[in-house]
Amino acid sequence: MSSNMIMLKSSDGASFEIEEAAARKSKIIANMIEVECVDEDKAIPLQNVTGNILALVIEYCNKHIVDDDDDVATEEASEEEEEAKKKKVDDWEAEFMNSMSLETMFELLLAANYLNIKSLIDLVCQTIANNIKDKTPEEVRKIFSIENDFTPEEEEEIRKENAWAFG
Amino acid sequence: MNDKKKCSRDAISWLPVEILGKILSLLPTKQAVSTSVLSKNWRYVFRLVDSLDFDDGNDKQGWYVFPESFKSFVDRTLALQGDFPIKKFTIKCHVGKYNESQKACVGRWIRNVIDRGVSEMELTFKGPGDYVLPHQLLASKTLVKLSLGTHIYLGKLPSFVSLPSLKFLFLDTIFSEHEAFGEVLLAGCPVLEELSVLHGIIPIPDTISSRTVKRLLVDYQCANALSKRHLSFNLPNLVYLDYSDFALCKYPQVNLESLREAKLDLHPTDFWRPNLMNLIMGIENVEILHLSPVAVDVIYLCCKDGLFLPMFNKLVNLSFGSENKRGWELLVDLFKLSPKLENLTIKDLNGYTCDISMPLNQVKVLHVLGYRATSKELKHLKRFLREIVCIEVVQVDILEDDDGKVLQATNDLLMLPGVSVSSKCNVKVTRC
Repeated sequence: MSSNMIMLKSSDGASFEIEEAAARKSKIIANMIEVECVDEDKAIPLQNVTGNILALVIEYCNKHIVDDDDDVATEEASEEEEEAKKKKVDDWEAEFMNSMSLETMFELLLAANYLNIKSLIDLVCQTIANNIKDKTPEEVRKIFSIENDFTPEEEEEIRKENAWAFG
Repeated sequence: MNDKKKCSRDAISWLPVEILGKILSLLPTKQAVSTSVLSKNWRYVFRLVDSLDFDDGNDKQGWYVFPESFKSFVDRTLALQGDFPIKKFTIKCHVGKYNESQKACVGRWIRNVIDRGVSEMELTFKGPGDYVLPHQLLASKTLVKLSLGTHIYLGKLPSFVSLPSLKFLFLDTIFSEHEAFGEVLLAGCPVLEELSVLHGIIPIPDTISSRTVKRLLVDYQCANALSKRHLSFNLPNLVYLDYSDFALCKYPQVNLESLREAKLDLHPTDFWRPNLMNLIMGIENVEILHLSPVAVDVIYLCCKDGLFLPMFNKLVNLSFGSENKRGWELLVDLFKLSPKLENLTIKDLNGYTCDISMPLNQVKVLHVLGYRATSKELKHLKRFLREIVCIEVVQVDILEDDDGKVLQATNDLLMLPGVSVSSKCNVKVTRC
């Protein structure tokens, strides 16, 4: 396992040390490492990510880099072991997402999008989709505090346009 | 999961629209479209979804046809999307057998998403239809996964069938001209890895041939399969075979040299005498073998009829079902022919008759499925375990609702080590 450490600096000035292998989960950071030859003593500034969100991103990357390494080491692992491992990761992800508020989730999603960490974007999008699934528009508005700025006539018009969706 | 969570301010609407599109892509299309009414911001977000699924919502067989509101919903959604790239398209609907305008409509939808580079497509037509596919579908450069069913008529396939990216093909009740399946369709899929054929391609092909397919599922158990026929497998890279059919009168060519796992479910028929020789020889190198109770019986009878079983030198896992004494006699033979056999799964102990003794074997793990905790089964299990001297693990799945009986059965089973088997043997009981 690579023990190369790099420094990341959040928009509010907090510094974080992270293994290079974990940081490479972010395509943006991976590119920076390759193209700009990141200076070992200098932190990479991440202007769009606050410290508390960056901490979550790093927690996620650290967790998943270990799993990726395992995958390589045990290519011959049996189906059951694979399944058990996948379940462990799924459980961890469920707990990870469950521990944060919706607002934090959106910030994490923006950070993952900015840093281009595909698996984290997928995870957060899926969690948000699960919060919307099988809810009526009224319920969705309530959960996400979305203000209905249509007049009743406008709303009725949209419902008519897509009658099948509201049937 | 987070059902109780709520936001104190509208933060979601300010996510970049492409991310909102990604979130909505994970929802059923009907619900994604219903977000258009949330607020002005959300009016057209749904058009960014890259995964569409449409279902006319009616599972009636018969002569139902999809309603006008369904048609305008699909038309409108596709029109709003313009030429955005799309990943997945699923449609489940009825198409009137004699309703040409509906057929044209579905054809237009399919062409629309093909033109936009769809990679995954699932077409399910409900009820009688004999739907003919638009030819563009069979020339898609981007399709990776295609699932077609039911009552689709492939017709006389165009010679230009070319699906250069297709890896997964699932077919359910497809009609075609003779030879269209093997010689045109499969030949046009140069990287196909997984093929699943349910309820037949009709007429049934007599050869399934591909150099790339690794997993194959064939289920030909249907009444109109009852005509005398042959089937050859020429699949040198096949790793997994799941084959359910009548035991045919001949398997002229069976080339399955990479096969590791086989699942056989062969049914008897009064119309011909099966000849399983090439099929059984073709699977002799498997490491994992599943035999359904009927297949066990058919193979046993074929053996009585002169079928010669080869050595299964690589077989480690055997899953075995038997409803009568004949099956257990076959198991004796399989024990003799499988020197490496370590894991044995038995579906249903009831057929076991205690007067059959097993040859010396290396079985370490015994897994009993569908244990109903009768005293007869317990007796059989005890007797059978005496035949397996190397046993290390016995796992029993109890099929019983009554808590008291499950508890009693569990206690009885946990008493086995030291009495019927070595005290080092580990007994696991699960409830299913």
